Amino acid sequence: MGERFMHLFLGFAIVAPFVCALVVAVGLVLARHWLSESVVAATIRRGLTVSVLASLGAIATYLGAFGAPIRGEIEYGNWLAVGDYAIPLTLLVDPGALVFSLLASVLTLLVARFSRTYLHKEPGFDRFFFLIGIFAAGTQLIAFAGALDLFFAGWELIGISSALFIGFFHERDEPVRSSVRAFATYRLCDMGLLIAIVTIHELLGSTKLSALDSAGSLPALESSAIAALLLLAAMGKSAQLPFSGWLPRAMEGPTPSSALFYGAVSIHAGLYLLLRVSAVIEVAPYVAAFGVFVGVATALYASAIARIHTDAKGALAHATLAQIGLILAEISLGLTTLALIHLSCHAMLRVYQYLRTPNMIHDAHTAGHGHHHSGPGWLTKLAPKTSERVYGAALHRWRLDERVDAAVAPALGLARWLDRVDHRVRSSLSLDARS
Amino acid sequence: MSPDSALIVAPALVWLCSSMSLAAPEVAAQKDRKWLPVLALVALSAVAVAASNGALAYAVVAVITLLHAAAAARTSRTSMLSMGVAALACGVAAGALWMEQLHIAFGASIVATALRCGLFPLHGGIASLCDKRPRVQAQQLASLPILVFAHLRFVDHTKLAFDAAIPVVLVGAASMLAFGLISLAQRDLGGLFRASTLMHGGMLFASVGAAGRGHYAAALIVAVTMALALNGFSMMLSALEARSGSIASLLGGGRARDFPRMAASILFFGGAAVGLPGTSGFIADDLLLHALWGESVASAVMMILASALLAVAILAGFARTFLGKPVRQLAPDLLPMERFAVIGLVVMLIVLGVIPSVLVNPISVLIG
Repeated sequence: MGERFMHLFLGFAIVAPFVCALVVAVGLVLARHWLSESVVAATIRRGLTVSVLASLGAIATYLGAFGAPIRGEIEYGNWLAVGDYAIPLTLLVDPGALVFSLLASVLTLLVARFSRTYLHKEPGFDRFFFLIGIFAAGTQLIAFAGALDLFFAGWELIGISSALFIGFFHERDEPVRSSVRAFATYRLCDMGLLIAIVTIHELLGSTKLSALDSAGSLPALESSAIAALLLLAAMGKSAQLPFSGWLPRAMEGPTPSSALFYGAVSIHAGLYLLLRVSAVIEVAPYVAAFGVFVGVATALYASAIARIHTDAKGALAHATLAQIGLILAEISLGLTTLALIHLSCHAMLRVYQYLRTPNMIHDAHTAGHGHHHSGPGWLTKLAPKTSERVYGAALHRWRLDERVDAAVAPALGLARWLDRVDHRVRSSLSLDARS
Repeated sequence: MSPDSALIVAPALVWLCSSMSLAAPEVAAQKDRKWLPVLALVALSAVAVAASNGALAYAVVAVITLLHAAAAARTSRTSMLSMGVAALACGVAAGALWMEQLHIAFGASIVATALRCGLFPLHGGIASLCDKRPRVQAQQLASLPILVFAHLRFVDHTKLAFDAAIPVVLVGAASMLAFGLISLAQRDLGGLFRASTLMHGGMLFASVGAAGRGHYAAALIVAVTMALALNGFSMMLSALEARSGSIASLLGGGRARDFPRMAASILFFGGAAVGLPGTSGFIADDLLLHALWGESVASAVMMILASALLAVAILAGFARTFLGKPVRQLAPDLLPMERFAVIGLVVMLIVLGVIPSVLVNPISVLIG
């Protein structure tokens, strides 16, 4: 009885928003006239409401409201099975999954409700709600995924919807460029997750999260390599150094999507991945130490910028990044429960702050600017020269984007050179050119 | 699934996917619909997949390839020669199978596959088709799963196939990576389509190599996805070209406001080609990755890198053409028949992505 309910609840939590998004998409492609705002918003909101209720139902079933408590892996068979290779349709119900699922579904529903008014008569209204539906399905999939293949499917849905949200105001050049940049960062870092998934399958015989408990039996080099690849994926999604450059640019998107993605859910997805694979991180001490270093370095970098940033959303983005860095350090230190609590509270606070940002600016303008000149900070008192340097570097965001561009330039040069070679090969072998 | 059912279901599904890919561009075309060659190709494809005799299957594939060569002859001699040699190789494979010379059949089939995939440096013909006759390229892409099916079914069970697997996989992966990189340097959608087609050609060749060691399902689902997704992409490029002029010289973006459905369709097909979850591209990438990893770790890493590069190139190319300051378009967005063709391909890609066992199980029973 309880197990059947759990199957249904988990299925609805993931599928409902996806189906509603598909319904909207089909309607938009087929309808002679565009669907009205109210129809689109109501369809997606229904999917999100079902997702929230299903998430609550899963919690009730986990606690034993429908018979014996149902916990651990819930099997739906195989998504695909070929020979000895299978993609198991396994979902995992544990406190971490339930917290993340409820957090993500409730915040998504709230942001959707907020956006109904905020984006009224905006040209991309339908697109926004369609993407919210896809994003919600992706977050529920990563929340409950019991196998890394399923996790990757949800991870990709989040990445694609995130990139499309950044470029939401596509009539301006800057959001479009930022969207491509964020997507490129995601895809390159996702390589880490993909390679890790295949390696885990080859070495542990399964991509189920439960199989990771035996990661300790692997040789140190192999477990460290897997942990490093997973950390790379998390660093890209959670904008940790040196992949932080896309986050301030992501503020080009509409405020509700910034709140949902870069305040609440998407930015925490990398950390959630590390929480799910903490068994691997635990057995790779060098990678864990590197994770602490990256987290602390990102926190310092972002907090220095947040203090001097002049636009509200940019400052908030860097403040978010600083906290994300600290949560990464907590996870790397093995403080996973603290990290989950920190993550949840942080997500809720940031959604509120992001959604309030336009009002805060409005309030500041109507109430007048209150300039509070505080005295010099501790760093200025202790080391004035260093303080000046930090201030100057923070003004230019440590020239991070320029350094990343310089690192990527050789690859683009190679691409152009190969293109020329290809052109020459085709010309020299072409019969058309000779005729 | 019983072997008897698989004997019917597997060929029928391959034929259905191939036929849909063949028919979609004709359904979508606003003028110059040429149904006769398409119907001939659909009928020949049915014979090729239904044939229980390898020699007959390859002979029919040779005729199909010869038809592509004839269609290409009007504009590109390079493409004609490339398709002609591929047809000859299929004919040799048919003859070799008739004389039960499996090794020769395998070699000839690999040559035909390399030419039709556009493997570097044999890619001149396919590149020329992409540039000059995208409709013929769409047809040859749509019939490619038929060749792959014949290869997997009749010539891929030899020791030579097993021994040649790793070299074939490495050559395919290198071609894949080269064209993945080249896609980044493309400034227009025409170049992007060419690079994307050739990158996927490398991917298909690598998957055919891996099939020599038992990864049949990966090879077939890669071929089917390639046919559906790239044909959808090509169909949308033709629709854009019909409205805005040659895609090789389109300047500026800003078309998304007036062509929202077309923009969404291009993004979907481009995404499906690089492994969008929920489409067969995701399953194809996943299966192929595991297949390649088992044979050569380097080729698997090359595949992941190539796919990531192409994904970035597709989004950048899409952004350059469709996003940015709006440019008023006088032509309408997708017309009903174009939408109908798009939905057909989208449904196939989603069904195979959500329930991949529909195709994979019969293939495993029939060939595995």
